[in-house]
Amino acid sequence: MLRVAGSHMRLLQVLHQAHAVRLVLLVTALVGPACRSDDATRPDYYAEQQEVEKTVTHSSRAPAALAELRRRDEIFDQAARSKADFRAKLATLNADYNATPEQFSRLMAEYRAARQQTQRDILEASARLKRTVSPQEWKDLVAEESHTIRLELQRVIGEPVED
Amino acid sequence: MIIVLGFVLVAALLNGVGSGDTLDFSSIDGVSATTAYRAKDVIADEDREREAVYGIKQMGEVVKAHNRRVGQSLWELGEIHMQHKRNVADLQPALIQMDADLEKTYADLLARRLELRRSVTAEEWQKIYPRPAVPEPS
Repeated sequence: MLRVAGSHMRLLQVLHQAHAVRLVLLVTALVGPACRSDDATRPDYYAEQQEVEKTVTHSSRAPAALAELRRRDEIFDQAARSKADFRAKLATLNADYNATPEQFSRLMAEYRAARQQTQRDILEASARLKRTVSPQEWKDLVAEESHTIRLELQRVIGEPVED
Repeated sequence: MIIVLGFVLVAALLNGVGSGDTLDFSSIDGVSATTAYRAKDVIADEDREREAVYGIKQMGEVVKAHNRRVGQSLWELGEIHMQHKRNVADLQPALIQMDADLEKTYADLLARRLELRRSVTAEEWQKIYPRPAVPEPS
């Protein structure tokens, strides 16, 4: 399995040199259903790693930034698992004709707590990531990102977003 | 060039109802309009069938509208996060707003589910919304 993962990584790195933006979509296909939700593609750690390694060259800040990205991916995976679990429970509850509003409310409250905790975790991780890079490095890291975000949101939401 | 995108994708996962979401009772199995077709097949009474199909389609519209709003908020969130000087406090209002929006959408969909139940018998319901298969332990 590690060998397969390694060959995927090498393949991804070669592809990334060819075309960074298309890689986001390719990784989605390669990583497979375990890392996907119906709503959003998992952040592409390997592509981001290359961006950070290219931009942040400081000996201690670069590994710190990479550690924050890894942490953020762990948060994403946890959130995806939590949402999948919620969906499965909700589908089961919905299939029950006699399910009461109270049963739905309890399930919603349970998921709300998990979701809001993730919200806090992701904000903290993002703030720490920002603090590890200089304003200029951040500017370089996010350069021309608006277009990529717009395309990805259009894919996720199914409709274009406006400025 | 994809650093902020990662942040936006996590927020999308948390706040989007998304196509195929279980809460979108109009496309319970992820295929839009399938549920409405099932209702057409299952409900013999014309009036009830019309009501049920309308209700299911309306739920689809609620989800679409939610996704549109979330998409816009996520876009704005990304634009804020792209500025180095903007901090967590600047991102929080949009996240709180999206969270409240999601709760409102859930409540709306659940109210519509109750409404739909009035036009569908228990037997028909089981055919429209079959109990999902329990996944094999991995």
